[in-house]
Amino acid sequence: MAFSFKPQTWLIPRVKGFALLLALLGPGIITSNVDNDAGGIATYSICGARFGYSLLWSLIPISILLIVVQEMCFRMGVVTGKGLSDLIRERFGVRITFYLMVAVFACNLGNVFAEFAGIAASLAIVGVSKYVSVPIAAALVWLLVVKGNYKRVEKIFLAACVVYVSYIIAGVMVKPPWGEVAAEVLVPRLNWNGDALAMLIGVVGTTIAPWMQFYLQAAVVEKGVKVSEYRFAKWDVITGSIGVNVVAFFIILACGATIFVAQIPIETAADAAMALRPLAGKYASFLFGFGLLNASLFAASILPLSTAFFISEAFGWEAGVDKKFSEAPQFYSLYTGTVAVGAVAILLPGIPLLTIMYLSQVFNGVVLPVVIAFMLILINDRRLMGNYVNGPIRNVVATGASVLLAGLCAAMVILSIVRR
Amino acid sequence: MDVFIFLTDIIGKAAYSAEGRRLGKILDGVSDGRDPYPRIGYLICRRRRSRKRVRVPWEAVSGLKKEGIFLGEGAAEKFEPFKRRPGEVLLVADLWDKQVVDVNGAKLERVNDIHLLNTERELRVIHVDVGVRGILRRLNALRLFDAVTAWLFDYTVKERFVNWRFVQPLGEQLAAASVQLSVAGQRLRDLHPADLADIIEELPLPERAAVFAAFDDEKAAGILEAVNEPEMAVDLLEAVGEERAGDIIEEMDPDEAADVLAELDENQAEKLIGAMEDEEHADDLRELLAQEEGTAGSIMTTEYLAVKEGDTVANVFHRLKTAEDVEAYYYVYVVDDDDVLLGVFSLRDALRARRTTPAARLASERVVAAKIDDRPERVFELFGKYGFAALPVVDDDDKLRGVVTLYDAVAAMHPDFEKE
Repeated sequence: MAFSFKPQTWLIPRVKGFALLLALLGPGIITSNVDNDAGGIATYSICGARFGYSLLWSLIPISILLIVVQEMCFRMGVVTGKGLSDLIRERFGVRITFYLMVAVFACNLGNVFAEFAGIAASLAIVGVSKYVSVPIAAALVWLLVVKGNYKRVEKIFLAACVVYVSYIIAGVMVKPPWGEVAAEVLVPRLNWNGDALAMLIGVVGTTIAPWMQFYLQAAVVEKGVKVSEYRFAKWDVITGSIGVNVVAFFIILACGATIFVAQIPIETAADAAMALRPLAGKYASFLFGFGLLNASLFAASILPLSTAFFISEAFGWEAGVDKKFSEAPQFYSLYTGTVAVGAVAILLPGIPLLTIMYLSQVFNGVVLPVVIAFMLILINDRRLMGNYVNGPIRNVVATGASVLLAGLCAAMVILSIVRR
Repeated sequence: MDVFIFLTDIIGKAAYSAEGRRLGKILDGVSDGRDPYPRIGYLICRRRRSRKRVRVPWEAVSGLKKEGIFLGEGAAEKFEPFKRRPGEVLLVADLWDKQVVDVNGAKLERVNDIHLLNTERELRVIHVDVGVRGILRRLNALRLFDAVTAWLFDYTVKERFVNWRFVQPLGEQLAAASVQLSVAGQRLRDLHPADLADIIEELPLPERAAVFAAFDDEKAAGILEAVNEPEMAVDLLEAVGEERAGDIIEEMDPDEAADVLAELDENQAEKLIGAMEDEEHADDLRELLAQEEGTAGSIMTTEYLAVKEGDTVANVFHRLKTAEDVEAYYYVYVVDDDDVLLGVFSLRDALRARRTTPAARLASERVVAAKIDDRPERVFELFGKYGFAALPVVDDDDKLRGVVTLYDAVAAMHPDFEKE
C-alpha cells in the first residue's frame, strides 16, 4: 500500500492559533502525569534515598529520549490514524505480535500491581488496612470506568497532580548543596554493580514506560489530531515530557537531601514520606499519602483499560466501554481480569509494597528497548509514514538509547548472577 | 491435496522444483479479485540466492506437502519477476492481519487467516477467518488448544468465517476501486447510511477518506448526515476535494448541512454555498447558518411544504410528488403572499379531502408555532404538550421560516440520541 501523504488543507476550521493549541492539549499532558504513578514515585524516592544525587544526571538523557519516543508515537498516531498495536499487527503478523503482547501484558500487569500497592501503601499511612482499601479501590476503579463517567473524574485527578509541586518546594526548602547537585547532574557516573544498574534501568523504565507509548498513541488517534495540526500539537508532548522530569528531579533531590543524608533505610511509604518533612513537618506523611493515592488511582483507571484496549486491537476484538459485554467479551474479560489479578496479588500477606512498585519499573526498563525497536521499524517505513518518517537525529537518539539500555539490562543480569 | 486449505498452509513454505531442488520461499498469493470467489492465479516466491520476487503460476504447483510446495516439470525456468498489476489483490499484503468490513454484519473485522478452496487445479478464496481459531492456527497452537479444551471442557471453539462475498477490503489503493466494482462493494453501497457512518467512523483517517470518497454524492451526503461529530464530517469533506464537497453538501438536508458548514471558516462556507447551482437551496443554507446557536432557528429545517390559500389538494399532491426533498412532510403549511403563516393541515386531512378542495378550507386556523429565537427546551415542551410530529417556526412578523421535526428537537435536547 503506497501511501503518499499530502496534507489537504483547503478547508479551514473555525478555530485557529492559540485556541487550537488549547483544544489539542491533552494526550501528552495526561500521559505525563500518569507517568508519575505509584511506580514512578516509589522508584524516584528509592533512587534518591539509596543513591543520593548520584543518578540525577540520568534525567537529562532520559528527558531527551522521552521527548523523542513520545513524539514518534504522536506522529505515528497522527499520520496513520492507527494505534501502535494495530500497526505492529499489520506490519509484523500475528506471531510476533502475540509474543510482544504477552511481554507487554506481563509488564503492564506488574504496573497494575504497583498501582494497587500504591493504594495500599498510601492508605496504610492513615491506618486503613489493605484488605479494606484495595478491594474497595478496585471496585471503585472498575465501576468508574465501566459504568461511570471517567472523563469527568479525569480532570479531578489531573488537578490533584498539583500536589507534586510540594516536592519542588520541599526540595528547595531543605537547601541542598546546589554545587554538589550541579556537579552530579553534569558529570555522569555509574557504579558498575547490579543494584545501581537495576536502579538506573528502573528510573528509565518508569519515566519511559512501554505502556505509555501504547496509551499515548491511542489517545492521539481517539482525539483525531490531524497532520495539519501536528505542528501545534506536538508541544503538548514536549511540555509534558519536560514536566515529568522536573518532578522526577525534585523527588530524587528531596529524598537525597533528607533520607539519604540521614542514612535511613527506605522500606515503606512512611519512610519515603520523610522527604516532604521540610515542607509539611509532621503532616508530611499525609501529603505524601495523598499524592501517592491520587497517582495510583489515576493510573489504575487508565492502565488496565489501555491494556485491554490495545490487546483487543492487536487481535481484532471489539473494544470500548461503550460496548456491551456480549459485543466485546474479550475486552471486558481482559479489563476485569487485569484489575482483579492486580488487586488480589496485593492482598497476599506480607507482600513488600514498595519493592513491588520498584521492581515493576525495572521490568518496564527491560521491555522498553524491544518496544522502541518495533517503533523504529514502523516509523521509518515510507509506505506507512510517507514524508513523516524519522529524521537521522531522532533515529540515532532512539537507536543509540535502546541499544545502550539493552546493554545495561544484560549487564545487570550478568552482574547479579556473578555476585551470587 | 485437501479440498479446503488455509493461507497459513502455503505462506512461508519452501518451494521445490520437480527434481527436489529448493527454489525459494512463498511470500504471498495474487488474485485478480474479480469473480465472486476470486481465483488465485499466482504465488509470489522469493528466490533463494537472488532474493528476487517472482510469479509462480498456480497451475505449475503439483503438490502441497507439509515440507513445502512442489512445482511441476520445467516450472522453474519460466518464472517472471513480480510487479503488481492494477486491480490485483495480494492476499498477505492486502488482507492478512488487516481490517476488512464484513458487509453482512456491517462491522469491522481483523483477518486472521484465509480459507481457500483447492479443486481442479484452481485455488479460490472462499472465506476470511476472523476467529480465534485463525490466530491459534497461525501460532501453530491450534491442535494443542483443541486438545486442551476438549479434555477440560469437552468443547471445541468454533470457526468464525466471513464469506468472501461479504468482505470489503480497506487498503487505500484497493478501497476506491473495489467499493465500486466488487460484489461486496455493491452490498456495502446498499447498507443504510447510518451503518456506513458507524463503519467509517471506526476506520483510521486515510482509509476513512478513501472509502468515503468511493460513494456517490447522494450516499456520501447520507453518511455525512449520520456522522456524529461535525469535525469528522469536515475531515471527510476535506478528503474529497473542493468540487465534490460542494456537490455532497448540496445533497444533504439543509439543517444537517448547516451544522457541518458552521464548523468552517465563514469565507470558506460562503464559497461552498456560492458554488451551488440551486439558488434557493443556497439561500436556505445561508439563512440556517445565520441562526444563533441554542435557538429554534438553529435546529429547524427549511425543507417543508408551504402552499397558498387558493391552492387545491391536487396542487398539494403534485408539489409533494415533484419536490426534491421534503424532510418534514407530515404537515402542509398555508401562508399568504408575505409568507405569514395562516394555518396548517396534515397529510391525512389532504388524503381524505376532495382533490378540488382549496387549502384554506382544510387548514386549522389556530396554529401552534415556535418562535425563531425560542430555546430548544421551549420547543421540546411544545412537542410534549401538543404531541405533534413537527412544529412550524415563525419570526416576529409571524412569517414562516422553517420547521422543527420531533427528531431534531429530541436530538437537540439529548446529544447522545443521535449516537444510538
